[in-house]
Amino acid sequence: MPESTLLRCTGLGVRFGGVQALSQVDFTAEKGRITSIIGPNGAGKTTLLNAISGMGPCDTGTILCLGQDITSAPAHLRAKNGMVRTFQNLEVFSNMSVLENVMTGCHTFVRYSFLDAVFKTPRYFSGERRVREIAEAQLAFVGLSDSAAIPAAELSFGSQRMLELARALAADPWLLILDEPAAGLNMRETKALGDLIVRMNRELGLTIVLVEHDMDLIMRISHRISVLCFGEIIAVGSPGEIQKNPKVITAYLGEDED
Amino acid sequence: MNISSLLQYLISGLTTGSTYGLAALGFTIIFNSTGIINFAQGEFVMLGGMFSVFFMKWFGLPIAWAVLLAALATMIAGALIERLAIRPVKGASPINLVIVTIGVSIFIRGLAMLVWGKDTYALPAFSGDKPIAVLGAAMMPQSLWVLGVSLAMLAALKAFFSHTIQGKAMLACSFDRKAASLMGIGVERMVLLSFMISALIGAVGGAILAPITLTSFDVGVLLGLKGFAACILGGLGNPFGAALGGLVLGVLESLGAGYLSSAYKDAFAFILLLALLFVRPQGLFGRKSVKRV
Amino acid sequence: MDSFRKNLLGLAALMALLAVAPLLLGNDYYLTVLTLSAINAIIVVGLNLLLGHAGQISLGHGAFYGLAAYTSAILTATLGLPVFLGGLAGVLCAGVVALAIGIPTLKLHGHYLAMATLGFGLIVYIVFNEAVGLTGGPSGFTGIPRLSLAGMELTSDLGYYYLCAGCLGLVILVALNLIDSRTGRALRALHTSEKAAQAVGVDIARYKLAVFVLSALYAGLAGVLYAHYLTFIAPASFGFLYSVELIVMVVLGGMSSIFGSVAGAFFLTALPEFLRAFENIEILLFGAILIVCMIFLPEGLAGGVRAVRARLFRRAKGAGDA
Repeated sequence: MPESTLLRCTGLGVRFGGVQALSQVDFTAEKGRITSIIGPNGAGKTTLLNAISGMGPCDTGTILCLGQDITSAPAHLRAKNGMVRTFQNLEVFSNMSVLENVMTGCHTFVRYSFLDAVFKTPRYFSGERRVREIAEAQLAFVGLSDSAAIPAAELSFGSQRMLELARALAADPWLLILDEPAAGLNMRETKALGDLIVRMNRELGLTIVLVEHDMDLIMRISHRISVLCFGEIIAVGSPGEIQKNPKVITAYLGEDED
Repeated sequence: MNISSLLQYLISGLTTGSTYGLAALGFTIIFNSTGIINFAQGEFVMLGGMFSVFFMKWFGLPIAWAVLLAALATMIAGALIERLAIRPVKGASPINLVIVTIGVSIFIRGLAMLVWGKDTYALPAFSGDKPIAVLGAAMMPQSLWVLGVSLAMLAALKAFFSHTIQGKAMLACSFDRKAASLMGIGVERMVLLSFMISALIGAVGGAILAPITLTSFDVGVLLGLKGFAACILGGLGNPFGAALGGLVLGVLESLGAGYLSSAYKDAFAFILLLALLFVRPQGLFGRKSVKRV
Repeated sequence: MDSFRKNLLGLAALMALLAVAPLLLGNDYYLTVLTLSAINAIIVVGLNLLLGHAGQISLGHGAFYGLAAYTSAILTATLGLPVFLGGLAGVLCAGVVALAIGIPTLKLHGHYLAMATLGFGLIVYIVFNEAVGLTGGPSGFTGIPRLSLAGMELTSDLGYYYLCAGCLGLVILVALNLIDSRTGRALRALHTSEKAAQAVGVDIARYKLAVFVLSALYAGLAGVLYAHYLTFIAPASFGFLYSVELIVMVVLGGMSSIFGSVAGAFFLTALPEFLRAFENIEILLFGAILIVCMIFLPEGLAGGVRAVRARLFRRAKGAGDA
């Protein structure tokens, strides 16, 4: 496996009862690149992300991350090792403030023990200070600094999406998996989101895997695209190649007139 | 192990199990239309038995009329509970609703104690208590009544859900409350109806069991717990699974009491229930929910 | 750090209130009620962490309370161990049992978790009743020694009350410090979204188990204090209804507030004593008060206080503007 491949999935298969949701899916994400997965509704995109992130089943195949086999690693360990994801349906911690949401993101790498917290040791205070600094920096990065103190549930939908991104960034990822981050955003917000993803990729050096329906966004920012249709990969290539690929065109026209 | 004692345990297990099943059915109906676990369900069972006893005593009614009237009275109690305690907290979180039903059950129990005292009462058996011999086991005629009436209730309920407009509407609510209300189903009325039906079912269960196990103001607590357990055993939300869960629980208990230890019979049933939950978290007949993420 | 200072201030105020309470209620009977309230409050603080913060329900905490009480009673009264050791063993026993039962149980969700913990509580309750040789059965266990510290038996009821109040203060401090840390954030995170908590690296099974065991240890501490206070215990104190009452205390007090839960514990422990004046209808009133509270105070006592404060604040501000 070449040095530049961060994530390599081979022969992934997932079955739900009688439905083969994924079959023999191969997928790779190159280090430092934005790799997108597109496909009609019900193609298995979220199922694939769930398998990769360890939050859904994976019946066959292997997942290698930085050369290590993580196929059966629990989700929280994958996150700890730098694979962090966001969700299509917002999963903001509604019982916390905006800042606390992002502070939760630092869970794995700013550590102090349970006893440090109970006895309020210097380690607790220095740890908390660091967590707060990181969280404030990430909120600034996504442009939510002004909302830090308000309850997360009171944010607008678009801002909650940004909050999820900030929380994911606070987890110090190598690989960021974004599940339809533009869903529910208006055109202006989508544009800003695209810029933000590009900045995360260029400035922070993050490898990004992106599932999205917004074709303009995909074509604008992706380096490589994999097309999923009925649980199978039907094409892989650059945005230009994908737009011209006849199989992809039929797959999409067969479903709707987009 | 001899056949006649096994049969004896089976009969008594199925008899008590029927009441658990009816209580579980009541739980399920309310759960399906509201998402609430109604901790007052056991009190409906208690009310059914106690009302029957006292309608006979106060008005000198024949037993059949007393039981019928008791079922009606409990149904009214169910409606009152929905109107006075459940509807005012509409939209509250599930845990708050559960606490309301706990309050209701304590209230009803307090009221029953105030009116009827702490004594234990017996309802006469519906058709004498001369045991019938079945393959060496003795069967009380009342057991036949319990099994028969339970089956009849189940059949009536099935018919109600599949053949009447109201029943179909309730079923629709249990699948998707929002969609049902968009289709013009009065969800509030369905909730009221579900409380009434649950009360009715519980009361009938209580009345037919009372001649066998005696009744008092506080029998509802344990019967309610067993009903809940039966529900979970059958897979929450599935009415017929719940009824079957009740029978399974009753039989397990009776076998445990017969072959292991009567002191630990309740513990035995709950240990098996826990073991089952650990292997099959969705209950015996529940489907594994496939959540979309 | 701001919330830390606020917590300490609140705790200091509560401790001051608990310290003067027996002086104001100069009656032995009220002292008993206060002591039992403090003991209940200890369990409820643990349950608040479990239910209010981590979102996991337990209908079996009466069992942990009872296990610790019986363990300590048997070790001290039957086997003659020093009370200090018996008490420690009691608390540990609650913790170890919670660890063992928690591993399979906490995989369950919602009503299934409620049922499993309820079933566990019932099984333990039945054992208390039936293992007559060990526990004395339904008629109870008598002759439990009073707590002794360094050879000195704590005979004064007032002294025992202050001991319980002190334990309550410690338990609250631990809980508050925990909430305001990465552990607390992890618990609140898995409450709202297990998926998102995992996505930022929270080992949800471990955190659920940890908070479950901690809450059982709290219940164990309360059980030991209870057994050596009354010197007599019976299964009826540790049954299903008690477990339910504990949950009611948490919810009535306010799920997201430790201080609210403590208030809930004192309120619900004292309520039946005040209702006793109404003799026959006390249970009835108890039920009715529960319902009414849930109708008018959906966020519990803590929520009610917050709402009143917000309204007063707004009015004061309005008056200032005018």
